[in-house]
Amino acid sequence: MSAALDGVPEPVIAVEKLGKCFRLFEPPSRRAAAWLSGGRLGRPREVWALRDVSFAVTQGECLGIIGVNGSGKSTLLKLLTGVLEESSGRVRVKGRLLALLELGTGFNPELTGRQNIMLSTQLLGFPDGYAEARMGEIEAFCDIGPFFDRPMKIYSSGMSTRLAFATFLFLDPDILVVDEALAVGDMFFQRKCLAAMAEILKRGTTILLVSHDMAAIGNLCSRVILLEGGEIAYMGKPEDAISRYFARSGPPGGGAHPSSGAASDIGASAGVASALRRHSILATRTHLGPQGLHIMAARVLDRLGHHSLRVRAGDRFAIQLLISADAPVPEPEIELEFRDRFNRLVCGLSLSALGHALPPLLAGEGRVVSFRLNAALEPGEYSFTLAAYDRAGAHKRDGWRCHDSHAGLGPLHIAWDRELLPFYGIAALDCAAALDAAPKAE
Amino acid sequence: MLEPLYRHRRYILKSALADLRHRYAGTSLGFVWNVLQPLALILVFSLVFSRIVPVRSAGTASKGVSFLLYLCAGYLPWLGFADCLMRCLNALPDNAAYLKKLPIPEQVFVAKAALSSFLSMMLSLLLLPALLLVFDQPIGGAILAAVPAAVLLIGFGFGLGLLFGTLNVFFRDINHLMAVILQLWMWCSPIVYTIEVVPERYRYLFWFNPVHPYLLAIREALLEGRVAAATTWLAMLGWAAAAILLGLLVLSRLRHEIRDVL
Repeated sequence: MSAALDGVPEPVIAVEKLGKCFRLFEPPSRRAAAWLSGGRLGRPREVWALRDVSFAVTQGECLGIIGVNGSGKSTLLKLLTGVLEESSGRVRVKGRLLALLELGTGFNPELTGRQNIMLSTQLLGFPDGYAEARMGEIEAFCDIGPFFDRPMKIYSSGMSTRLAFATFLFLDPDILVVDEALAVGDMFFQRKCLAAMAEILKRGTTILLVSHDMAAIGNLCSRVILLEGGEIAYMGKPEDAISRYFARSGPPGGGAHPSSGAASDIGASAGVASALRRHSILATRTHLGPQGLHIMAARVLDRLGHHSLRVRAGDRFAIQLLISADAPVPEPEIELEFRDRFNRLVCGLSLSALGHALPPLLAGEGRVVSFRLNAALEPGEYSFTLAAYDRAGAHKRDGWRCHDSHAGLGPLHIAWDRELLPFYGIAALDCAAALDAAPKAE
Repeated sequence: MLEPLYRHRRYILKSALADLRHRYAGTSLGFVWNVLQPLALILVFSLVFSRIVPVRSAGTASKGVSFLLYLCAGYLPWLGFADCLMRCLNALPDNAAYLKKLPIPEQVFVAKAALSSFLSMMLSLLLLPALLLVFDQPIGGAILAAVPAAVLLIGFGFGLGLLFGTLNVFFRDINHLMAVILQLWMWCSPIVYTIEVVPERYRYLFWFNPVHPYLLAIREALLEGRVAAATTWLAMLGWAAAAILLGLLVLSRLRHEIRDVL
């Protein structure tokens, strides 16, 4: 029974049980031994960069591929584009696939932008006149003015990106593979690219988007694959994939899975505590103070109480922490700081500043602390810091003693999915309008 | 295996031309350097061999051609061949950025390197008609026979480049080994000496040197104004075809691993 008969469109990309194994010969002379002995000697070390990956993409779909570095994203793309040969399984691609892999590296710095576009299209084997016919559109989209006809060695990296992106966009591919293209380029160009990609999606182009920019993934993709260790860890809705990605990868620099914590009497609701631990966004435990208060787990809950790092602007959300003391803490204190992506402090809060005081904790005691917040922030990515203190030292000259601190958590993605924000600017002030008739001038 | 070369012919041609134009980009003499470098070498050689260490070159003297011309007609094609071989040898690592990102067949980049060498070799060979004019030597139509001979020589270099370039991806020692071999190879070929200095009974050995027929044909066309014998052409064609076939064979056997290793 053919899929087309059921009214389900034929996939433009079909990947079945795809695997890629790199055979490493160290030192290289082992390869010579393997060749000469017909494979009996000099066995290579086999590294599977991708294993048992299956999925299908239909026309007009935008599939996102996310995962930490080394999870096999690039290998998958290279197999799809035909740069690498698969070790097992198979790949079928229908139509012309163009890949924007690491933009701008294929350009010759001595040639002008225009000449490079010609050369690129020749390199890709396009017929004569193909690029010329689209040069006007490309030049207009790049919007780099007179630089278009100057050697690319004087371009900024943003300009090269513009050129590369514009070129690939206007070559009318059936399938466009975009790999980290949006990382460079200014915000306005990023927006332009996103709008352009949305436009070609509407026209029926299929897009594969590989990015660490979860905002772009969340905005464009209808389905997302999360790769982990060369295998598909999750495939489905973008929001779910993204929150799993953050949950598993932890904050930048972390990478380890959240520690499960010690099984001690923490004096908190067992259900909440175990949910907290399961979804904890803390990567590793850091101990700054010798003993005292520790943050065991933390998570972000959206308006509906779901574990998520994606919150709609203006929505209520909560940050929940599990703290535990391994020594008596007379005046426990929790501090919370939000920073934007320029690392500017957006807001710093503490329990005491909010007018709360935690009762003293004994060794082995724990608490669940929740901060309820309003995401009245400009959409974008924010990181946050959680710190646990003992206020008992506050009266001394050296201030509070910080026991445990986790910086760079998140990123918390403040999203907006409608046309207009209810405000503009970096944050919404709590505001209500009142209308009264003005008294007549006397 | 050769179809991709046709499909990407415009890229090969354009980028080889760009290569020639930009190799000396930013220099004030620019394009002229393509000719100046070999010219300087030839001047040094001719000085050494005609004044300091006179070579017994009865053969060339009897034909009334100065040793300088003889040297140019042999050394310039040799330089072109050596340049072609070394560039083809390194074409894959040099273009790793493309190979790792675009599904373009490997031989396209090797062909681009060969064509680029061919163009600069032809430029330097233009020195010869100029020298012939300067020394008041006859120039005949047969001089054009040097062009197909040069094409075949580059074809031979392209074939060897494919063969060793593919292996070089896996064993980077080959690059350095080839530089040594080329040195020895040059002195095994009648370039700075004439074939007449070698005792008659050993001269047949030159026919085992693949570059000999090419040098012979080019020299005969340029200096003696005649087209080489059919056997010479056959030898040139044979060596070039054999090298290219072997190169393509090795490439097709190993290509699936090249991009994993680069």
